[in-house]
This record gives sequence, C-alpha cells and structure tokens, in this order.
Amino acid sequence: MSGKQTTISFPIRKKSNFYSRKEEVNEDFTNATAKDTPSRYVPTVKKIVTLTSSESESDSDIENTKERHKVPRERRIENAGHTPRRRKCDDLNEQHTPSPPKQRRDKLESSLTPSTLLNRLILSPKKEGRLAPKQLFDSCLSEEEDEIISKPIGSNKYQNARKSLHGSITDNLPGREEELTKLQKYLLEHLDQKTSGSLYISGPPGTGKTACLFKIMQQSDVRSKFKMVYINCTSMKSATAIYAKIIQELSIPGMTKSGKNGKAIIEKYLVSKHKTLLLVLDEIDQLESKKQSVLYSIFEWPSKPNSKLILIGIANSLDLTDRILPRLQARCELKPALMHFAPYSKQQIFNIISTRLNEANATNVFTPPAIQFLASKVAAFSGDIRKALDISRRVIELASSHQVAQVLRPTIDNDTNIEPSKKETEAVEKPVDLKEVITVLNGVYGGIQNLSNEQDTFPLQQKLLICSLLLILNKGKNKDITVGRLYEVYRNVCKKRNISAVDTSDFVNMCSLIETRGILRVVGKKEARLCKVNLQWDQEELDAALQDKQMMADIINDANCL
Amino acid sequence: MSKKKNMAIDFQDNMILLTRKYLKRRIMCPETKFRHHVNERLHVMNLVKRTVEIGESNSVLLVGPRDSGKTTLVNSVLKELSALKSFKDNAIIVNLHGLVHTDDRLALKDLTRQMQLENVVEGKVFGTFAENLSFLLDCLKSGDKHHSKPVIFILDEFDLFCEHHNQTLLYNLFDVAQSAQVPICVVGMSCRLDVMELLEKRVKSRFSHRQIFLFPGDTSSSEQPMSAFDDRLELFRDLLSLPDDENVNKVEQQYDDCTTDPQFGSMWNDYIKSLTTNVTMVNLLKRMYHIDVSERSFRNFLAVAVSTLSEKHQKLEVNDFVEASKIFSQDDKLLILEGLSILEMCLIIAMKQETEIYDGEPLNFEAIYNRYMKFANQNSSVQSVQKPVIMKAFEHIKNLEILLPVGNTNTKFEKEYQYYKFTLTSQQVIEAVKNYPGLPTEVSQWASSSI
Repeated sequence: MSGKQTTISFPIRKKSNFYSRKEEVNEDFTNATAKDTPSRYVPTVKKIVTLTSSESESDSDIENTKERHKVPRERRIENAGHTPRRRKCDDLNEQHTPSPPKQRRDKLESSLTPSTLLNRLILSPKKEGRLAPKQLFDSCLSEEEDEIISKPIGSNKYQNARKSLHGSITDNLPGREEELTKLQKYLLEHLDQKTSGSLYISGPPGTGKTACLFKIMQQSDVRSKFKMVYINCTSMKSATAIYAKIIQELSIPGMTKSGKNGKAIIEKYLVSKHKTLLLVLDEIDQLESKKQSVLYSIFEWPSKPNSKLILIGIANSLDLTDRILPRLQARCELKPALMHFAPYSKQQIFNIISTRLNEANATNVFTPPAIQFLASKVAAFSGDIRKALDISRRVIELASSHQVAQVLRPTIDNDTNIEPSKKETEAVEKPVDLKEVITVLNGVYGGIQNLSNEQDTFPLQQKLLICSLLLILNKGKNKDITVGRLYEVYRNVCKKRNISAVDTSDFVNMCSLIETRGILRVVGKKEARLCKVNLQWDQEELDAALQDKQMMADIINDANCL
Repeated sequence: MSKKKNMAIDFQDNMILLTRKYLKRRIMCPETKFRHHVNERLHVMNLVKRTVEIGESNSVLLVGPRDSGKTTLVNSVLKELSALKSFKDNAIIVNLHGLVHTDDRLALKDLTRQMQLENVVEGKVFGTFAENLSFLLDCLKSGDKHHSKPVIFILDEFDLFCEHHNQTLLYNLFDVAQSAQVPICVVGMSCRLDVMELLEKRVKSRFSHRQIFLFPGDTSSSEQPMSAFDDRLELFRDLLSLPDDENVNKVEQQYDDCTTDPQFGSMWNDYIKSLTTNVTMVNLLKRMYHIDVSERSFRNFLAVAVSTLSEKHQKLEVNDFVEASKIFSQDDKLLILEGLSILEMCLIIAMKQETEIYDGEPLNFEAIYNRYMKFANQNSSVQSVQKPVIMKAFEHIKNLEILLPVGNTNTKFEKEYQYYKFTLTSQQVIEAVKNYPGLPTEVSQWASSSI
C-alpha cells in the first residue's frame, strides 16, 4: 500500500552486522528520537500486518464473498452508491462509487489507516440498519479470536450486569416519577393554552435532568405536538454562536454566512406562524457573556406575542436566573418557572441499581447489603448516579477478574485484605459482596494522601526533607519557610544522624520531586533558594504517617536542629 | 603471524565499540517492554480490550510522577493489543498531547485528521472550529455500539487539557463516553496527583472516577516481589548486560544489527554481575537511589558511564561510575564561582559578610564597596582598584544572577543604590574560596575571619 500521513519518514537504519565499520555508531540517536514519538505504533502495526497477511487471508476471503453477496443487493435498493463497508470490498467500490475525489483518497490511503465507518454512517443515517455489522460482531468469528474475547471478560452474567449498569442506558427513570409528571404537566398545560413559557431546571450533575427531558421528548404524544430542538451549549464556541445553531436546527432559510443577523431571523420566525416550539438548552450557563445579552434575549423570546415557544434551560446552579439574570424578575411574564432536581437519596440509588440489574436478569450478581452500602456511600458524598453506576461497574469488574484469573491478584491498587488462597477455594458464581465494594470505594474516595502504604517506595532523603519541614512547622517560631531555610534545617538533621546530606542543587531537585506527589508546593519561580515552601497535605495526617518510624519521629520532635 | 595478531586486536576494538553502541541504544531508547505495575497494566489492558471487543465506553486517568512509566505502560498495552487481528482492524487510535495541542481548536483539527473523517483532504482539515466540533460530535453521535469502530483517545499531559476554555473538548469526550454513542476509551496521562480537582463539576461527573496511580520504584506488584533497591540493582545489571546468544535475534528484534560474539558477551555479563557485588559500587548506587528514584536520571547516569568506553578503555571500572556520578551531584553554583576573577571573589566575600552581619537584609553597591575598600586599605598587598572597575565587577556578578534585585527594577534608583538579595549561602562561599586556585592568602584569611 502507499504511504500514510501519520508516518514521518526517518533515515532508515542501515543493517550492520557485528563486524561492520565503526562509522555507523553515530546513527543511533536519530533513531532514538524517532522511537520516542507517539505515533510509533503505526509502523509496528504495519509491520505486523505484512507478517500476518498471509495467515489472515483465509478469513478475509470468506468475508469478502459474503460481502459480495450483500453489496449488490444494497445497491439495487439504494442508488446513491455510498457503500457502507468500503474497507472490505475495495475492488467493488472502485467500479461503482460516483464521487471521484473520495475514490482518489481511498486509493491513496492504505487500507490499514483507520478510515472510519462513522463517516458512512453520517452521510446516510437512514441506511444504518442495513449496514453490515462490524466484523467482530459477526457470527463468523474466527475461533482463536473467540477465545481471546471470552477469556478476559469472564462469565456472561457479569457481562450483562456490567452492560446494564453503563451510564448510557436510560429506559425508565426510577426515583424521578414526580419530576417527570411535573414536567409533562407543564408542557401540556402550555400546549393546551397555546401560551409560551420558560422553565429553568437546576440540579447537581448526575441527577437525571437531561435524561428526564429526553424521556419526555421521546413520548409520542409530546413528540407529535411540538417541534423540538435540543442544543447542548458546551459545544458552542461563543455565546452568540447559539443563534446560528438554532437556525440550523430549525432549518430556517435566509442565514447569511457571517451569522450576524441570526437573532433577527429567529425573532422573525417566532412571530410568524409555526408549530409550537420546544427549545431545550442544556448547560445554559455556558452562554454567559459580558452583559448576558444572549441569555436575556433568549429568555425574552417566550414573552413575545404569538411566539409559541417553550424554553427549557438546564444548568447546575440553583440560583442562575437570580444571579446572572436579575432583570428577568422585573416583569412577571418574563420570570422563568423554576424546577430543582435534588441529588438522589440512598434509597433511590439502591432502586436504580437493582432495577437495572433486574432488567438484565443479573439480580444475584450483587448482594443487597452491598448495594445498600454503595448507595449510602455515594448518596452521602454527592448523590451522583453516574458515580454510583461507575463504581458498581468497577466492583463487578473486580469480582469477575477474581474468578476468571485467580492467579492474578486483584486489579485495584489498595486492596490488601483479600487472600488469594481463600479466593481459589470459593465457588465460581459468588455474588459480589461488601468486600469488593469497599475495595473500589476506597479507590475512588480514598484520595491520594496515603503515605503509609507507600512507605517503602518513598526515598529516604525525601522523607528526611519532609521531616525537616514538619519540624519547622511544629516547633519553629517562624512559619515562613523558604527552600534555603529548609535546607539549613535539613543539613542539621543529617549531621546529627550521620547521614550524608545532598547539596543544594540536589535538594532543590528533591523538592520538585516531592512536589509532583502533591505533598508540598514550592511557590515562586525566580531563585530556588528564596522560594517559599507550603505544605499541601494535612499536617497532622502527615505527622501521624511519619511518626510510625522511630527515626522519623525522633527527627520531628528534635527541636535542637532548628 | 603479525598480521593475524593485528586482526585479533581489530576484532577486539570493534567489539568494544559495538558494545558501546548497543548499550547506549539500550539505555537511551525507551522500550515498550514494561516492568512492574502488573496489575495496573492489566487494568488498562482490560479496559481498552473491552472497548474494542464489547463496545463499552470507558475513561481512565493514569496518574503518577514524571518518569513513572505512564507512557511506557500505554505503549506496551497498545503494542500487545495491536498484535491481535480484531484490535488492529477495528480500533482507531488518536494521540493528543497537551503540549502540542494547546487549545481545543488545534486538538480538534488533529483529532479529525487522525480519525480520517470526511472533511480531511490529504491531511488538511477544512472548516472553522465550530463546524469541526459539531461535525465530530455528529460523527460520534450517529455511530452506535455495534456498527462503528471503537476509538481510543490517548491524552498525554492531561492536566493541560483542563486549562482549555470551558474544558469543551473534555466535556464532549466524556459525554460521548457516558452515552450510547460510538464506543470510545479515553486514556488520560498526567503527573499531577490533584488532576481531578482541575476538572469542572460537570466534566468530573461524566468521568468514570477510574484513576490508576503509578509510583516509580513500586515493586510490590511485580512478578517476584523484592525490595526497591534490589530492583534498581537488577535494572543496572539488565541495562548493562549484552544479550545472550539465543535471544539476540529472536526477542530483541530492534537490535538486530548487533550480533554479539557469545563468548565475549558472557564474559562481559559476568563482569557486570561482579560489579553489582562490589561494595563501593553498591554504596554509590544506594546513595543515588536515596536521592532520586526515577529511572530516567539513572539511565542518564549510566549513559555517561558507558560513553567512557573506548578502544583504550575496554572495561567499565567502578571509578568510571564514580566519576559519572560526580557530574550529576556537583553544585553548579560552585563551578560558576571558580571562574570568577580575584576582584569578583573579594566582592562575593564582602557580600557574604554583609549578609551575615545584617542577617539577610538586602544590600547595595555602596555597602559592598565600603566593605571592600576597608579590606583593601588594611592590606597593602591588595592593589586598590578604581571605583568604576569595581562597579563593572559588581555588574558582572549581578549578570550571573548571584544577586537578585529586590522590588521593582525600574530606573528610579541610581544603580549604586539599587538593593539586591544575595543568593549564596556562606557555606558555598567558603567552599568556593577553598577550591579557588591561587587565591591570595589575605583574601582567604579575610573570608574565614569571623566578624
């Protein structure tokens, strides 16, 4: 195949055997840099391809013939000529595709370059259903691949459970019935009275605001009566870009290229005769601008006569409309209705997880106390359902990895209390219990400030440095610590313990090494010695961690070294 | 006869040069072979694999200090996976780097290019930022679990992506990962341990809270547990030994041009092994390990030691390592001081005394000048120099940034009265006085005299 864009040609290394000439030594480092570049994989992949192409021929032949049966049939139905899978049947494409530039590109690319299937999907979304499924999901999976897939993933039940707990699946929303009915009532009321209105929905992330709206928008009785526009404002480059986006979504003609008259066009559209419009702006606080002109004008649209617009804004902060849009309060008809989504309670999270597991027929994967515990922990921190689902997914992962590969130790870093020997004797299909939940929760909420379990990996001199810092903080009069002062104390400490101290340049280096751990922060850039050292961690906690070792405790309590 | 002898010598010379070449490349080139952190590696591997094979969307952050093997880990995972046919055919890998893609516009352009989307023609991306973003999101949204290729995003220097405007890119990537769209796997690498605090709340909520911490020298999870320093010794041995005859061409394909003589190789390896039992050597390594556990600086140190090999110097002695370690541990401020003239040395001593007397208060030229003149008048042997010359010397010291101006440095003050802070310790000055070749005795006496 021909060259790709991603690879940069480097001077090719000459092959030299052992007895070759000496001059070639200086080639080494050009190669060294070449290897360092992140795009290194592409060449390796290429290499492997050439190696394995002969093996894989048998597989791809079968697929190709399958494709050939499929493709003409599709083409008969759809004359557009966009083939869904150009990757597999290049030769056929070259005869049929009408658009020359694409074909040229296809030839230029090597088939290995990941030219995506996505593109084809966008061009003709209607065709989606008829697309040949990706090779992986084909039934004609080659055997060794099948093995590879099934091996690390574990039993089917776990897989189902994990799939059902993914954040993406939202069919029904337990715990949000009240909000759903309220929303629906609001919408239908306005629809019946043919009035327009604005609604502001607030709530912390992960409380199902967007999911609720989506659910309502999917109901057919609502869907047929409204013209719906959903815009997520985070993808806007600037606040004013929203007008262009709305116009695009409504497909109103008459937009100039610069997009300057966007506001005028929309306002014109609103007073003209049209179906009731439901405009949903997600993450509306992204539209904040200098004088909030965009937000004001958007919130003023519903008050226009005959606008028939229902505006729904979604954001996190409870008081957004009061804080940044105070002028809306002045006129009664402008004032948006407010709705708040409270964080999920413990019982609600429990219900969500168990209903999801029920749907997937995997109820016995979790024991109820385990879910209870997880739910209460998440509810106590944030009430974010995304977090709860992610944690439960990780718990299942952990459990399945225990069972599939008992030889391997658990994948989460700080679990120490699970003995591998005990695990081996356990039954194969054991439901997830509290222990795993605790393990994962510790990983998520445990934070980074656990020095005690990395005692051994923390170098001695760095420990001494921290001890000196604590010594000054605990016993010293002047809490204003510079690197220079810290160094003096550190030298005293070293002298007293008969440890050879490092010199200044190394010491500064050491400070920055500790800084990467987040224990302390060196403030100031210019001259290292005059920089201030601030402790980032909790002093008492660090104190306690270091007091464990006799020598460290001695140092911390030895005021003579100051 | 003599010719044959020459040949033999040639052979030996060549051998040592090739050895040097081989070792240098081995030390300096990052490998995809990954040591330690077995569990973490398995974790990442499973995540990426699941994204590609089941179509699950994932996000993960690899956090660890610099040089803790984050990139190596990801590289090794990808290399191993790319050997699988199903992975290689199906996955798209997108590499983004926070230092290169300094804003979302650049990142998006490169992302589009690497994904080979429709608006890319011969490596150039058309359209504005907003167009590109909406196009990309449309692409990602229109795909679903079963029909589109999984995309693996690898974000290096993840913390720099957090500084982008509104974190738009991150929000959108994590949003796709949370919803039923194209299966993607976002792998972020960062050296900041508090990277989660940089994320906005909505971005944080969408992130899966899966952080994997890597600490260098953490050997607890490796195949055979051993102490951290033993592992360093092992690395030392590993990096400096030549390949055995069997695995020359099989295992290490990238070094295929160095086919070593097995006899020489085994001799060399035995020697290196004996080095690791040498007391001086072990002490040196231990000392270095206590200061700095990172592997990169250790490799640099080895590279310096290895580059002393030559035709005349055929073996790595312990002394070579000691010399090499000196390069890394010497104080560069002292080296600067050694290069100063005697007059400048005198001024430095004056500054030292001035700071000692007034306990770190800032000083100006006049004070130093007076102190110096007092010394010069007492000792007749010291030539008195004119004031402009001393000023010149003072400015030279200032330019070396041994003196730092205090407060604002605009031209409000005459330069004689501008206040400076002295940045050397008195110990450093005394050390420098000791090391200075041919310093007059009066000066060194003056330096050591207490006030």
